[in-house]
Amino acid sequence: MSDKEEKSLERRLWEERLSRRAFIRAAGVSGAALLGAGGVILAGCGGGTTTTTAATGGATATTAATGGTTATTAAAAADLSKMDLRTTGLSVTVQDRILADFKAKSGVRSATGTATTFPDAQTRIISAPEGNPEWDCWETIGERLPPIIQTKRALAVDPSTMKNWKSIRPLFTNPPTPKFAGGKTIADQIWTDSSKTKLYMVPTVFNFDSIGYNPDVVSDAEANTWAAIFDPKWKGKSALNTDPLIAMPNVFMAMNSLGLVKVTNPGNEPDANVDAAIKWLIDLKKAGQFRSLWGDFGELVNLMASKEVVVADAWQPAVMAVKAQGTKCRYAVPKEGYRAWAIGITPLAGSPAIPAVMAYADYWLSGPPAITVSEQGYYSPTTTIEQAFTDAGKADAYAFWYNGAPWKGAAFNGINEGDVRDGGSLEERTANIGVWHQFPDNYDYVVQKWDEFLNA
Amino acid sequence: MSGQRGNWFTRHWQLIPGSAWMILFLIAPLIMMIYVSFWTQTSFDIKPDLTTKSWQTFFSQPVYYSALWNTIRVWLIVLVGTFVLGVPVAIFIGLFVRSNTVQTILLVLAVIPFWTSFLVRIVAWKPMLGQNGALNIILMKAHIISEPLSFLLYTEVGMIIGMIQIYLVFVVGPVTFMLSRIDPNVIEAARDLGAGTGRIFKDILLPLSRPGLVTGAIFVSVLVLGEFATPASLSGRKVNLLGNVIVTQVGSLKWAFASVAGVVLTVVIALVIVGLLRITDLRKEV
Amino acid sequence: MSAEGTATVAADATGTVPGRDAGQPLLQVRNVTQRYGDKVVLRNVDLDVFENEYVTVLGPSGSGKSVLLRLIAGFEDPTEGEIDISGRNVVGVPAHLRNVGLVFQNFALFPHLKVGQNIAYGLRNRAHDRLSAAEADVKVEEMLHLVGLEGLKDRRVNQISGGQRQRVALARTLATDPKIVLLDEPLGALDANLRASMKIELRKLQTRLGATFVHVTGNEEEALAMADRIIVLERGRIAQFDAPERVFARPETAQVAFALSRFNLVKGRVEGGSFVADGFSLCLAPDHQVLSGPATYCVGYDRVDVEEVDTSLAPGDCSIVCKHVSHEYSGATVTYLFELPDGQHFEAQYHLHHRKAKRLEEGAEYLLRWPMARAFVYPGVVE
Repeated sequence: MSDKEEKSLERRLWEERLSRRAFIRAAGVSGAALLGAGGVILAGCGGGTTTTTAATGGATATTAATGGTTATTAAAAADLSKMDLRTTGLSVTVQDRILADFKAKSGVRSATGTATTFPDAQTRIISAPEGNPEWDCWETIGERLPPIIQTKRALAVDPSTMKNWKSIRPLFTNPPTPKFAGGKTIADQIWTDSSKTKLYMVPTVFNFDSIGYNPDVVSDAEANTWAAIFDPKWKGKSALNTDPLIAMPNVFMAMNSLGLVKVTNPGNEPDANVDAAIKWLIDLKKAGQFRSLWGDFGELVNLMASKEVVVADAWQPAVMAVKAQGTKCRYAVPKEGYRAWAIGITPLAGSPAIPAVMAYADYWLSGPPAITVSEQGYYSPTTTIEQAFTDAGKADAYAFWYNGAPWKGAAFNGINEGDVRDGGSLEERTANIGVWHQFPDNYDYVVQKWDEFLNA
Repeated sequence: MSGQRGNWFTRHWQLIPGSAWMILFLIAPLIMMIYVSFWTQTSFDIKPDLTTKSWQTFFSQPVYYSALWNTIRVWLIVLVGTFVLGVPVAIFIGLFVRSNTVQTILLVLAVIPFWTSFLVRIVAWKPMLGQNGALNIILMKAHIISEPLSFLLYTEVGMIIGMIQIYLVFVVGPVTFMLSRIDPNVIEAARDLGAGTGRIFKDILLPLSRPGLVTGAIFVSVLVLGEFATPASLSGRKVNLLGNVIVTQVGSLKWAFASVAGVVLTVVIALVIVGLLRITDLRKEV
Repeated sequence: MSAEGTATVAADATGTVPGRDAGQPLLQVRNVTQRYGDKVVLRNVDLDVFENEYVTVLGPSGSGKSVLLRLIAGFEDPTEGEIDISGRNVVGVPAHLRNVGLVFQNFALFPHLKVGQNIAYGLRNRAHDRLSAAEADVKVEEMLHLVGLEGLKDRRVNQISGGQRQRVALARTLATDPKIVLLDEPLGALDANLRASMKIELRKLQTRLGATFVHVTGNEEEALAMADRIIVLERGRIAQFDAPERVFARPETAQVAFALSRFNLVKGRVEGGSFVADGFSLCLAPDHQVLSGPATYCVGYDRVDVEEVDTSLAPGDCSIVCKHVSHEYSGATVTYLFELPDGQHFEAQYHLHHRKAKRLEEGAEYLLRWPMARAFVYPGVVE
């Protein structure tokens, strides 16, 4: 894969990962411009979907596994050569190249991937009849699990049947308590219960989000708090993400630091605090605090690279992209802690190919498939990644990405010899988690209040 | 022999493809949208149990009808803007440029922006209007301003500039077309009979180009009322039109509510079209 | 009365020009030249038109006749020269202040207005003496009556026939009482029958209104039939400006003769007192024998008699023996086509009122003869 392809992959990855706005492009462009919601509904039912097939199996699915209780069946025990894997999800992980490699290594009859945005996939998964899913698994972000768990679409599986599960980082089994101790960790969200024997999502990629800033304007000390985004000093020069599940935790962490509200879990605050936060945000918006709200990777990069914005909640790959475009940009280490998240594979109840899903998850955890995403600035949840880098002759790169060591050798994607990754090693980051992405109990209320902010 | 049915079929079979198209892609989705707007919405799901809850929410929350008024206000500003700029351009191309070749070249130039995608056209405004953008650099170099103007981008002003530019061609095109169809002798005849420029504009040019004006207004209205991408991009997502409300609601899986907003938007668009069509009978005049 | 009849009346007139004794011309075009870039469309045009005159401007397309009309109407100003109306230079005066009305070739009716509104347009919109709706209405009725369109006032102009549209255009112009009515190929868009009747009507209207009409046409028959005087334009120049019967009796140049389409034009040269072409010669009247060098021999189609080869000639007749090619019959006339020894064409036209048709054998030789006094020779060769 060439550098150029990697770059576009990285871009696509980020655009589609957390961006609810990705749906605009996928679904809206076809219809809403012309006839309002008529088009949106049409597009929502069928648009924004591309199907890729790594192999054309075609024949009927086997009866090797029928979900539910048989989910613990070891993948190895089933005859994968008679199984078809149908996966869907964000194009971060749903990729032809990976599916083709998985098919070759696992021996499944076919592996088909359909890239979908989360509203599209979630709607289709929930509206499909129970026990007869359109796909075998959904590759999504952790905080989106509750809707499909509560509607019984997600299938809990025993991860210990996977060969590579033994290499899973403790972050996913016994994570450190976040700085906001009232919040759920990723482990609280993926496991069925505290016994941690079955989980709804096998993590495949994770990361820590922070604040991007222009060091020519904003000092490190000023930027190392989520409150920087809302500091009147940067009035008209700051930006905030438009997704409430991303932005609200940032807002709460800032308000807590400023002493505006007492926050125990920035990812899930009661209605009264949501009210206070929205009122504060509306006042800030009316006072002209935000140069722009941003919805996707490209927008954020453009805002910071053009110097229209000097401080914003950000993704590390976006900060690197801004630097690569020649504008100084740094990734803060917020005193309140990072906003952490993970993407993973969720088996869907009723799938006839659960062993194939497990084999697919196991394959992701084996190391090599995670090299590309690691080199874009994400992390792999298993320690197998170190060996994979070493086997690929990239031990120095591993040290840079995972251990905070200086870059060695030729420049890569704007990284020069001697550069270190902002924020340091994975260990340092892990120790500084403020809050994990999570689905708030008052989701409907948060979304409705967020509308008021958008419309203000 | 063929009865009534057969006769009807032989007389009207040409209507079938068009009607089928309309039913499949306009009427059916519209009915579906109205139907869904009465469904019961839960956090993650939507059920066909009829309720007016989404409708009540829309009209009881200032948030949403303020988006409606905002949409109407922006629509009027953009409509007036495209006409104020577009009609003189159309008059120039349609009346003063009498060479067909030059006319075609000018019209093609006006359409060139449409060879690129909608998003590229919007994004292209950023380096123009930004604080380090071309416009600010020119104004500063010309010593007209000393500080860059920040209200040009990521504001309602920037969004309106962008929309007017994007939709201008929908006025210029049809109006130019109608004006260029006017026999120049007709204008000279009016002049010969004693009418001044103002009278000629009012008595001759305006009525004869009216179908073009109405067509342009319909194009611009339908496109602006359904807008969501330009506000998202050029207002920095700070101006929320009804189209943006729909997109946000769909994004948070509130299909029933999105349908309500969609029905409201469709009704507004329909009223505007009907109103504009009352000005002229396009079937008769074109 | 037929079109031919009108032509005869005009030709039989005494040749005096109405209004000429009135002294001051109504319209004077003084040394007007019109250029578009390098292209000269009108060259040193001089002409006087008097009150109550009917003048036709005859010329092929590209001769500048429409431009001349536009200059007089005021849609364009001449590059050089002066245009006077009633003794006042009107160059620079806009069209609507010249009191000149133009009837467009394609009528240029206002397509969105009714017949009555079209006719009233000038009355309601002109700069001076603007009429009220009621006053205009009276005038419109009067005009509808004048052009024979009573009852059509409320029709849309696309609901009436071509001939009726022509009358509306005329009425619209005449309603404003212009001193000069300019007509740009007014009959060009009409079919043959309508054209014939419209010719008569236009003349009648002009006589009745006492207005001055300047009528541009590419049709020589129309130009000859209708005009008090006829201007023949040739490549931007006035080739001849005279009463039609004079023009017809003696075209001033070969080009004029050519424009009238009623003359045989034979290319050759004058040598030693006679006209010589390749393989034959033609006799010349004494006053033409002074020429020498390339020349064009000109004799009207209807001056030529066709006889058997052995027919003897009268004194003063010219003759030539040549081959009959074909004939064309057109109801009132028969035209016999011949081929001269060097391949040039020659025609003889018989008006069936005056002469009996002949039965000729195609390919046979005949003797053609004409009075020497009716033949002219012009220096140079017409292309």
